[in-house]
Amino acid sequence: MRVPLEWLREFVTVDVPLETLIERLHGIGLPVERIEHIGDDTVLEIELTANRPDCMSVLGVAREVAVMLGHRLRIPKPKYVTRSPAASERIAVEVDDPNGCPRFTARMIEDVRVGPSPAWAQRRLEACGVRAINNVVDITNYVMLELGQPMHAFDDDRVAEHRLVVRRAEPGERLRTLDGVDYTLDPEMLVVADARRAVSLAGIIGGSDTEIGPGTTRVLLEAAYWNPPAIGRTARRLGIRTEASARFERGMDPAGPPLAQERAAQLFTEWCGGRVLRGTIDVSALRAIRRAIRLRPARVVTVLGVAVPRAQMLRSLRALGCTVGPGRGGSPDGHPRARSLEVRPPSFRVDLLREEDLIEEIARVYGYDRVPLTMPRGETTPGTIAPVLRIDARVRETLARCGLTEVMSLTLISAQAAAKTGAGVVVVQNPLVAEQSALRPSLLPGLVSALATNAARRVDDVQVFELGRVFHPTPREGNGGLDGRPEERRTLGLASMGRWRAGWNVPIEQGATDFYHMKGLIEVLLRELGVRDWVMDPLSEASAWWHPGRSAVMKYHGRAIGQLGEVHPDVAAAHRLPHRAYLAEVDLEAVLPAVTLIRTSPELPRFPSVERDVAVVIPDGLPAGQVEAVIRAAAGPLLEMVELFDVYAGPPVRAGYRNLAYRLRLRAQDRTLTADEAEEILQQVRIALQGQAGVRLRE
Amino acid sequence: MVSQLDRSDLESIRRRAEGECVEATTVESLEGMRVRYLGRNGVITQAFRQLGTVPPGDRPAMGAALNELKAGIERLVEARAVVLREEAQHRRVAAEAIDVTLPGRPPTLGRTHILTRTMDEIAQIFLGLGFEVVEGPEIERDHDNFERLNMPAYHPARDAQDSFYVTNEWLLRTHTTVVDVHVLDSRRPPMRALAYGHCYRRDPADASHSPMFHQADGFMVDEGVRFSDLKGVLMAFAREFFDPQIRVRFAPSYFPFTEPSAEMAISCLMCGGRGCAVCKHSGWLEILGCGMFHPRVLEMAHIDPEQHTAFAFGIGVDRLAMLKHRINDIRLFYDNDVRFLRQV
Repeated sequence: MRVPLEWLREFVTVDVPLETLIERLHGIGLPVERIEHIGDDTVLEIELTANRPDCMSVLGVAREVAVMLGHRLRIPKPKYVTRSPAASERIAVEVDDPNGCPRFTARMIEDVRVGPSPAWAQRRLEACGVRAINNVVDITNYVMLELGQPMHAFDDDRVAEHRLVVRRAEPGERLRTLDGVDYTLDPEMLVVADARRAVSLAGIIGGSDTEIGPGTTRVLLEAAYWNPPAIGRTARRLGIRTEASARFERGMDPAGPPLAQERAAQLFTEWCGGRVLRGTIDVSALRAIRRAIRLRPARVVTVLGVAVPRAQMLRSLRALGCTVGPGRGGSPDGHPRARSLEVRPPSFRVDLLREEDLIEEIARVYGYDRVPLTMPRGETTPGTIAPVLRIDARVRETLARCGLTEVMSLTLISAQAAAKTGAGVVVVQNPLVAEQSALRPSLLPGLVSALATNAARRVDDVQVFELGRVFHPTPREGNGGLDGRPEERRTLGLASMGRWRAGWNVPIEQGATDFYHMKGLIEVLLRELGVRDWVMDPLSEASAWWHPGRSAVMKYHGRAIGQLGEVHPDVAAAHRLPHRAYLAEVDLEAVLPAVTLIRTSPELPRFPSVERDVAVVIPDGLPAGQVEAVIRAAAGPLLEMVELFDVYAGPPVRAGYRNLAYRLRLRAQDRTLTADEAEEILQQVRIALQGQAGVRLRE
Repeated sequence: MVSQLDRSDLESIRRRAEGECVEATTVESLEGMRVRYLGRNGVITQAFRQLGTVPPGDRPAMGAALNELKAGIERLVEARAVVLREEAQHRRVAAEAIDVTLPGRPPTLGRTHILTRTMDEIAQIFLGLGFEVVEGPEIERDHDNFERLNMPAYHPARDAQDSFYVTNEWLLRTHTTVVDVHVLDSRRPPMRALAYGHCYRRDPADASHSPMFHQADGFMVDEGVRFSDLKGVLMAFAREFFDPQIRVRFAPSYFPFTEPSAEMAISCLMCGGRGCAVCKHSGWLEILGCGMFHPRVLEMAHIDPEQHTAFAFGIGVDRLAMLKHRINDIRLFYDNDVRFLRQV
């Protein structure tokens, strides 16, 4: 709301410096966003919250300033002369939908000369951000800005049968509005019609058919009170927002139309030489009862935590326009201070409905900053953190310790990218842009984008992870799938490209990331989380994402929990990745039950170990994992560790074969192993290895 | 013919040995010298053999003098050896000198996301204040996200929270306040809870808006919870999170789910309250919205507002991180540029 200071001063004396005024306005909840100097005047741009439609006018803001500074508010008292005949002899108003339109007033002005408004009035309108059009339209806007009540002027000669009907629109009824846009209406929407067709979209914008033009002489002037949700619904449905709709949808003063009509009548005689016909047509279904709210002063003190004096509460509420009387009930035997009050808010304060609303008013006038700072008195409660959040923290901490940087991608991705993951997709019905029209079913598209984004900026060495949720249209498992809630799964993604170890003279083959680096990260992480018994198998199904020969599936108790591998060369090329890149995605949700965060102390060995090496030559097609499994099985319980320390292909090893060298560490917990015992175990390992097809021992 | 050994011979041996010892500049030449004097055929050994030529009366004295000479030379050689070994070691180490001005090879320092750390920091502070830190789904029912927070359909306050719908009923939560609703439903007072995470609003991205952003929302329900408690708790939070010297200010605001509602501002972090471009010359930075839970919200959760009162607050995590770390564009959080992420 833009408020010219000079206009404000018409209604209230402002006897504090501008700086003080602004600070005090902030203190009562009317923060000044901007100050603009136009000519000699100062315009305050006040940011209003949705609950204060009463302040969407100069008078409304003046009322708050009056309360704040303890001054009297000067409400305008329009003076003008009316002529015969009565308006009701020229025009008629019917309200078919009293629920949508609880009050409709109309007035008639004749012999109007359309022309420009006085310059000072045009300046005020423009200072408030409203364009001056002609004196008739300007009067409606001027009154709205001054008093808050939106008005609409019809050219009465274009109103069929001089009769206005407030009704729901016919299905498919069309209306061209003042801004030249054609709308198709539906019966949910309220219109003001004449005898034949809709001439205005009720409370929102007028129609062009009855628009005031240069030749207009007879003006039919509307000031109504519309049902707020009805206006809000229509405005949103049609995507229109006007000064009028913004006010009506928040709730105007049901008692506001008569004063607005009078003020307008005065301005018509002053600016347009019009003759105001006697009487106002007022079709009202409103009952004049103002609701009463019981206010317990003791409750005010309890809720706020400050002993605002009862007299001060009364003063504040009355200054705000409330009627305050003694309440019924309460505690008759109690202290007078404990007696409740009966408060009737003014009709323009549509936001005051309950005791809490009055408490806020009292606090607002008292000053939030005068409320002391206290700590809660209740029992001290132990703070706790949801276990799953602790697991999140451990995952993040572990990967950060491994040198990875956490990224956070938008969970909204393009529908095409989502479809490429091959999973079902949760689609956003009303996306802002096409690139954000689906919820990610996988973290991989976001991670590849992260690699590409950095590569495009010539940052080639990128090691990142993301921990977040992915979304699926239907739950993969039974629980709660009936209510249609899309499934959210906690998922971890890793991406690696370029070098993970940097520095001068670090050989590229030692610094560059590869499949085994990625696999090592997953191994370390799952070990850190205490998740065992998971295996990694070559990825059997074809996928657009993965390099067919360099990807694997992670399985936990037979169930796939993730994938890992090199980005498919086509995907890498499409994203212009400068190096081979590696990704992994783990369904954390599936392993959560197995996670143990508390690690227990190992039993440190008391007896020495024996280390022996075994080397085998195996055909390329034989997975090393199989060789290791054979070693473990054959070596038995005294095998403490088996470590692969060399993989070699090339002469003298025959083409199509590789040499694998393992170091075995043997140890007994209760004695020192003898060389003979170690040799016996090793012999078993050798025999078992030789029993494998294609495996040849190297001495 | 063997001449008779006399004292002057011993003296000349000593002088020669001293000279040769000093002349030995390497461990090897010193060893040669040692052998020449002390070795099996060395000068000293030969002198002992000549002891027979000394008159018997003089022999004991001469023998003692010879022994003393031998021990003296041994000490001399040993002392010289220490010096020479030190010199050799020194030369060897000096030859290993490297250029210490070459750059180091730093380990790769991983990092969690600045928003993760910010949320964690917020959670830790409220944990210390006795709050339960919880989480909730990102997809919520329209009913829970709005109606349960006193925002019926077509409520003007919904304008500021234009939401993404995935079906007619399900939407992406517009605030983490909706998690409060679930906690209110599942527990009985007294309770203190904090939830944080992704939120979504249909705001086109610019320097201060992102369709996805983060909030941390907390509330406390108990008998006799006061507005003054809200002020105290949030002041404690602000001082812990930003600076113990910080000043806070509360002003009326509006949220459909709180009454009274307030907005908390802190004294500007950049200018200390004197006024600068960051605080738009007001000296204050708004950082969160808060208030006493509206009785309707408690009633809908079957909590009697006459018996229990509650305060609630919602913190814009992105904004807090931006203020604390002087980040001027919210989009940087979601752009995944590792140069940014590794720095903040």
